[in-house]
Amino acid sequence: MRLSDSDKRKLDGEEGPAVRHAMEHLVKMGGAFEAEEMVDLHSCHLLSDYRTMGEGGLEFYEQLVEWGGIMRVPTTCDPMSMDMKNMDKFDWPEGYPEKQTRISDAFRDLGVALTFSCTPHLGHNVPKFGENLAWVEGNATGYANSVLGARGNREDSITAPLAGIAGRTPKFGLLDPENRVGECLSRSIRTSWSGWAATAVGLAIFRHWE
Amino acid sequence: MSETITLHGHPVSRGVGEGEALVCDKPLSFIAVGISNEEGIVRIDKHPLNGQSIAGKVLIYDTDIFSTGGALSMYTKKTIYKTAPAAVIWRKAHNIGAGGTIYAGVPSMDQIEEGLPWDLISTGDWVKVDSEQGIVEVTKKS
Amino acid sequence: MNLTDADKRKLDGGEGPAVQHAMEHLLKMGEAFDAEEMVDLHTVHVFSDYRTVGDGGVNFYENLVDLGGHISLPSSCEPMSMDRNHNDQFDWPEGYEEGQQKIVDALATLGVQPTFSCTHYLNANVPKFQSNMAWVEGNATGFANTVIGARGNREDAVTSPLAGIARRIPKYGMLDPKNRTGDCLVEIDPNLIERIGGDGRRTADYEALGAVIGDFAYDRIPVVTGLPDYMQNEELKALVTACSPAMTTTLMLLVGISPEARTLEEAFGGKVPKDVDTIQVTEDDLREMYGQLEQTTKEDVDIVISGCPFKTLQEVQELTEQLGEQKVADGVKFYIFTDRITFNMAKDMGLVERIEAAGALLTTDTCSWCMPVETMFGPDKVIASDSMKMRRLLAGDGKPTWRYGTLTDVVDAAVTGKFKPSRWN
Repeated sequence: MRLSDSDKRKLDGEEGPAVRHAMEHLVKMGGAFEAEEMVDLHSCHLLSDYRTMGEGGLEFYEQLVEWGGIMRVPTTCDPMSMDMKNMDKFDWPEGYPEKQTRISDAFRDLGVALTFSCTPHLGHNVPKFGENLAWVEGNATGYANSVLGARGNREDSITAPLAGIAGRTPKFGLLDPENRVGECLSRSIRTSWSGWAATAVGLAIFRHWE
Repeated sequence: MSETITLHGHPVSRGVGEGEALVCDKPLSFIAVGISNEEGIVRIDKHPLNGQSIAGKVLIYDTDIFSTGGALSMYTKKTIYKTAPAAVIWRKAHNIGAGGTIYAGVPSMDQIEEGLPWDLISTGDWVKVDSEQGIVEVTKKS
Repeated sequence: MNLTDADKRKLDGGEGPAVQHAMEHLLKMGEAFDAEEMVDLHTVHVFSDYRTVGDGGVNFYENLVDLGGHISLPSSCEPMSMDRNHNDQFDWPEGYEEGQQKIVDALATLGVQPTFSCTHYLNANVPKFQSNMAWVEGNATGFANTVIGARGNREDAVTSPLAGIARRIPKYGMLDPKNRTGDCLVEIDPNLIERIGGDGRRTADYEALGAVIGDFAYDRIPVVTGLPDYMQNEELKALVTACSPAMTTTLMLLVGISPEARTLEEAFGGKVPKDVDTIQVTEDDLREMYGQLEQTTKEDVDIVISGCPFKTLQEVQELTEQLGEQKVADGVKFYIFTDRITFNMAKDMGLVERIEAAGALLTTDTCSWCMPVETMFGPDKVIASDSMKMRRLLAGDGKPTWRYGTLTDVVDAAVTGKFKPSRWN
């Protein structure tokens, strides 16, 4: 992968250990998908819930904080394993609230807006046409790509925060305009569908299990 | 006897209204913060009509600027405080002025065929706007 | 105007008196602007504040309720003359609370989402490319047309709710795709772009740049070249704020940013006209605009205002960082305006606590635009603000005097009581 001078500086640790760590991962990702270069990142959306990420995810985020990581682009986050306003209505397992709170604390330190929402594209992190995203969450990346013309893969929950810290991401998949053309045709989509329904269709590249 | 001229234009809000002309060639807004609803007096920084009352006048200006709330400010001027103008003539109507005058029932026109309205009408002239017919009768101040 | 059978049924009262009343007005609007037909409406944003709409506005909305009006489309509404979280912090004039409450109640009955925000396009009522809008609010229609490619005029406060009730709107102005091409050209000097914006400066810089563009374009659609390849939502929000205090149109075609201006040629509808009216914007223009927005050289300020258009969550974060551990000076009021959605998030994130500990106030639902500043602030007051729009709209006889600067400048003014402009000197 071709790296810009500033990419190389980041990779060499000149912008601190968090950025270096992030760049090391991003270079591997780019290599794996044969990306030719990195592009500037514009928006980030992260995984939040302790139920999914568990202890490993918590430590991952806390490590990033320890290294001085800070999100360089507007960043929001997915729903979490806690309803702060209705704690008594749910029977969260032992340890969940404590662990979830530590994740929220790490987010605060990383500069993440604590939105805890899977519809950031309709509030607080509205992407624009042509913008580069590192977002988790299928319905959100579906809407952002399909309806708004922003560019982003359904990024994994490790690459998304690391790309946000580096401010860069490898140009692969839907980040590369060359790949944003149809591969199959669905004739049944009614033109009068609202965007919300269109979200469900996403980029209409559903795959069956077989 | 004073000189009278007849002008032709494009109707926006249909009706007939007459009054003394108050003229400028700048944009204006009916918004309460710019022209108070209660008094109908223009209070906009450096505006040529600053300090003048629009109530009962045939108001002539370029087009609408500032807030879209101008339409409901106009409606309140007309229906509550009686501080609305008798009629409005623009070089070109903006939908803010159009929506307000149409709904409040204040006759209005734009696109005067004979030229720019401020070249043809002066403050103090007596003006009758008949936007049913698309005609403006101007009796020049003697 | 060509009406469909469904339009005619609505006009004949087939869908009740509110829809009929709405269609009658829409028909007149369409005829005034020579529209050939009506189009389906997709989203509505209506006016709210009692200060602007007065008792006529109360009667207007209550009449729509009496007629059985209902807005079933995605909707939102403007800030109002009341802060439901901080009622004791403001001295609203007699009758305001009652008047405003009647509007709030009527909007609720009509089915309007109670957002009380001017930046709903970033958090509550997000339009799509080619959505048809009936929206009031210049910065919102500016953003939606320019950045998202949605279609709508800066609709007036009467037509917007009526179109929402009828679910139709005459195809005129920005609703007609053939009118969405450039009339004039703005070329931004690369040296300016190198220096513009940055932490604590982006809002004021881009609002001033917007005013330069808007004053030039006035009633035309400007095509703008030379902007950065990428601009944040907050920077674009600041730029398009000029759609109301500077230009009467509500679309800027930003080449490389606007979806309808991927190239210069596309922005002009296929071919750049030979003798198109053009300006080059340099640092000097921005310096001059900052100067023009200053009404006085008095250093002592009484009030500091930030958040017009309303602050996004990111901007509340930025302001909290700027404030840090500093305290607002004795005798100075520091108002920061945002909507309730953003306020609640800021509260959950601990930002409100930090802002209040500094002695500043993050308001909800309202702003100085919705207040009679003549009496609530007073004509002898000096206000420092980073809002070009407030400065332009709220100045004049009997009103406070304004100073204009960056967010950093106005935060410093709040903390020291002295305004010292730092930008473009």
